Order: sequence, then structure tokens, then C-alpha cells
Amino acid sequence: MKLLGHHLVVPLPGGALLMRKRSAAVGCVLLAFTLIAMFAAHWLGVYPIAADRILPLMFSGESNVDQLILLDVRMPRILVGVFVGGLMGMSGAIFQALMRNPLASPDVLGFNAGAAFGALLTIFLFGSAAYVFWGAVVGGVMTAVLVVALSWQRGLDLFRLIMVGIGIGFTLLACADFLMSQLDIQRASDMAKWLVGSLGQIQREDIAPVAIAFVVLGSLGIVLQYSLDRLAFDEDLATGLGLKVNSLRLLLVAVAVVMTATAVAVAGPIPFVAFVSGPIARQLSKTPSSALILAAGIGILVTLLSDTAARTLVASFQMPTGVFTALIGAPYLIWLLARQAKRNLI
Amino acid sequence: MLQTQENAPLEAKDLGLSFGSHVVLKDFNLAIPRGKISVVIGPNACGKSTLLRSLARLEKPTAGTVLLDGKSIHKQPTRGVAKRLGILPQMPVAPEGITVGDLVSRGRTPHQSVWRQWSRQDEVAIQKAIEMTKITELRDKPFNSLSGGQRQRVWIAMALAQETDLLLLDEPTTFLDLAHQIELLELLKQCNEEQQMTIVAVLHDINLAARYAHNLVVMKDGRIEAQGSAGKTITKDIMKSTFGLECYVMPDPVKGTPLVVPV
Repeated sequence: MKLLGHHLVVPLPGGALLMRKRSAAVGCVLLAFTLIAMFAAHWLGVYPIAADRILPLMFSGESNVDQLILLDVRMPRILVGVFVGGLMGMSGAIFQALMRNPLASPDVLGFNAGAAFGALLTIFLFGSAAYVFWGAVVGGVMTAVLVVALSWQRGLDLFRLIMVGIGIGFTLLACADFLMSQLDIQRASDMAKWLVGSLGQIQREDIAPVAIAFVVLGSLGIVLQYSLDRLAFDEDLATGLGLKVNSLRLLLVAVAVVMTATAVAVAGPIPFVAFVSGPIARQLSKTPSSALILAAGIGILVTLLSDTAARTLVASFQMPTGVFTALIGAPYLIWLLARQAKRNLI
Repeated sequence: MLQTQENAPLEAKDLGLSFGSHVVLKDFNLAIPRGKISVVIGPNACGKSTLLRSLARLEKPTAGTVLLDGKSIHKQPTRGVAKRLGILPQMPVAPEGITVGDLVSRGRTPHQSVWRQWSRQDEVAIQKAIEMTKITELRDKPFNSLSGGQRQRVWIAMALAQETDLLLLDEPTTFLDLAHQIELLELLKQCNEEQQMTIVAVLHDINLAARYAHNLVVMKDGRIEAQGSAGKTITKDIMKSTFGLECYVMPDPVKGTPLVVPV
């Protein structure tokens, strides 16, 4: 490993990786914070568990209420929060880099609404939650295809994509609302997570799909980041540098859509995680790169902190996770809109 | 078999390009001479920019073909093309927050891969490009903080780092004051003389084009009106027929190349 200006060169057999020093440092700090936040999330809760008993409880074969709460209630929720937050953070960072606009995250582009609508539709059609996962993935992918098709003009036109995406997103939210209005009150309140997003009903079986998606799609995203960062030039320059611009864009859109759809399938459309993660990560590391790993880290932290707050702040009842991510994201959206409007960017 | 002209690395063969029903280029033939500076001039909307973009495979022709080393440029892997041919488009967009050094190093993209993001050759090529364009002291500055003239030098540095022997530039002097225009053209001349780069540029200023071009391509309505040395192409009659400009043509007092003085 050697230093080269602001970069670290990490030698590989027959190659080398290039990493910004500051990004590497921010990554280490985020990892430390994530571990602390995960520990704190296991500790905090309405049911008290002493901090010094958490690690022994996890690894001993004891079987008691403490262990049940820790391993069957808190841990699945926290792990799913980590994977969902990471997936949403990366997905948002990919879209924002592709479209060179921080407004272009999957929650803003309507893909989350599409995934949530797809999930709701399967519940409505089949009367059970058995196909929710596939409903969300198909809903998210179909929304993305629809938005891309409607904005396609001899190539992917980014401005049209944003405009069409916002329109479709609102339409699908209205459709989801309509579906909810057809349900009786009791079931509708169970369904609320499909509108706000919540980790409240997470079970052990939910861990595997998001964990696999996190590892597989995350690795794919990190491999594609090299090209993604070069697509941040305009199309002509990127083509001139030898990139297959249209196929790369389609591939990246596909990866990012499946990332967000998988997350929504499990946790509902938790708002603003995808939207805030990339910009915060880039702001912290001062990098021109899409910084997918750091965006995943911020997504994880935002989700974990929001969910822990939602779960513990009011003892008598649990609030949806999305309420707290919205508290973080909405002011940022307003600030961003104001700033972009001022600079005549929108 | 398509016939290739000797010593023409880049060629347009019966090239046709239309946008919808609007025909921009039709049966267009042009051979770019190796190791020379070719400059395309012509009135607005004559198709010169479209021609340059087609030569750089940024536009897909509706008829005919562009040949790079005698083979259709669209049938070659785009990465391989990027090792042979660099393009600086008209208004390039830089990634937000990028520094000059990072921007220049991205010119190495066609020589790199995800696994091999850095090599000794990358370092040498970038250093050379930065020294040649005299931007050493700008290396750590954010690109967005630079002036127009500096930015254009940085773009050229990125193109040089790509180490291609063909470089295409679409109106590289637009928005620059005269001093910076000269500075940029001198830089291109230096690249051509020291590294035998084949350069194709679209320029607006006829007199500057006449000074720097070995080969002038005068275009009108998607056709070539005249081609060759400045002495042959910059004449009173051709200026009248191409630009509709009444003018005198006299020798440039400095270089002796033709100087157009409008009436």
C-alpha cells in the first residue's frame, strides 16, 4: 500500500485499487458508529436488558425471556434494519450519480411507491402476505420499466426520467391509497407499513432475503462503481472514454431497482433513506465519487437510529420507522429544493 | 472491400446522417490526413459539428460508415476505439466536486479496469499531460473554481492522458478570449508537432483556422465546399459562396497565411 497525493494505492495481483484517503477514514468511522449503534439498539428497549449481559446472552445457549427478546425480537429487526438501510442507501447513491442530481433517488422517482403498490396488490389479490416479496420486486421493476420507457428518447433522457418518475410515483401512491380504502379498518392498520415503511413486523425469516440481496447486489454495485463514477461525465465524454453508456446505465438502473424493491418488500417504502444517504456520504468524504460503501453506511445508521427511536421513545406504542426517517429527510428535501430553485436547476 | 486511403487513420465513407426528416449529411466523403491538423469551418448549422461527432462515433450514421484504421468504427469495441481516438465535445460536463488532478486521471479510463485502477503507466501519462498543459499548480484545485481558459486546458490534459494518436475537438475555443484562443491552439500545435498527433477541430474563426490548419475543410449545407491548404481554400470566391461574405483576402502580416477582411 502506498500514498499517492490524496489517494491510497492498494496493490492487487496484476492490478491495483485506488482509494481516497479521506473516504477510507470516513469508512472506518462509519463502521465504528454502526457497530456502536447496533449494540445500543440491542440494549435499548421497553424491556430492560443490562448492557453487560448482551454479548453473553447472544452466544450462550440459555433459554429465557431475556434471550428470547434479544434474539427473536430485537436482533432480527436490527439486522433487517441494517440490510434494508444499506440497500436503500446504495440504491439512492446509484440513481443520484446516474442522473447527476440529488433529487433523483428511488423514493423521489416513484420506484418505492411502485414496489409498495405491488406488495399491497398481492395481499389484496391473494388475501395473504405470502407473495409480498415478489409483488414488491415486480412492482418496483415494472414501475422502473414504465418510467424508463415513458422517458426514453433515443437514449435515456435524465431530466424526463425525473419528471415522469415523480408523476408515476404520485399516481401509484394514490392507487395504494385506493386499495387501502377498500380494506376494513383492522386490516388497513396492518397495511399501514406499505405507506410509511416500518420494521415493526419483522421476523426471523425476513433476514435471509435482505442479507443475500445486500451481499450480492452490494458487491455488484461496488464493481460497477468504477464505471458509474465515469458516467458522471456527460454522455459524450463517457462514450469518448470507451464506456458503453446505454447498457451500463440500464444495468445500473436494474441493480438499483432490485436493491430498493427488496428493501421495500420487507420494510415498506421507508422514506428518505435512499434520498439522504448518498449526499451525506459525499459531503463527509468530500469525494466526487458515488461512494457506494459510505452511502450504505449512512443508510444503515439513519435506519438504525430512526428505528430505535421509533421503538423506544414512546413506551406505550410503536411508531413506524418511516416517521423518523421522514423527520430527517424532509427538512433536507426542502433545503435542497430551495437551493436548486435558487440556482435555476429545476 | 472498402477502399482505404493511404495515410488516413480516420475516414468518412458515403456518410449520411439525418435527424428525423432533416438531412444533415449526405454521401459525405472525407479522409483525415495522418499527423496533420485538420480544421473544419463553415457557417452555422452546416453540419460541421455533426460531422465531428460522427467521426468520434458519438452519432450513429443513417447511411455509409466511418472508418478508423480502415475498419468501421461502430463495429470496433468502444474501449479499443477510446485508446486510439480522443474526443473533447462542445460543452463538456465535469462531475461535481472533482479536483483537477482527478479529472485528468480519468482520461486513463480506457487503459484501466476495475481490477487495475492504477499503474505506473497511468502515473507517467498523467504527469506528462499535466506538464504539457502547464496546469501543475492547479492540480489540487476544484475544477469548478477555474476560469474558462484554465478549464479548457484541463480538458485537453485529460484528453492527452488518454494517450490517443487522434484527437477530435468540437469548437474548443468558444467562450475564450483571443489570448486564450491562441494559447489553446498553440498547445494543439505543440501536441501535433511533438507527438505527431492527428488533430481534427471545428473552429469558428476563419483567420485562426487558416493559421493553424494543415488541412482545411470548408463545409456548407452538409457538403464539402473546398478542402486543402489555407492558400487554396480561403479565397474571396469561396468565402462568398460558403458564408455569403463579401471580403478581401490578404496575407496575414505575421504568418503569411490568408487573412479574411470583411468588406
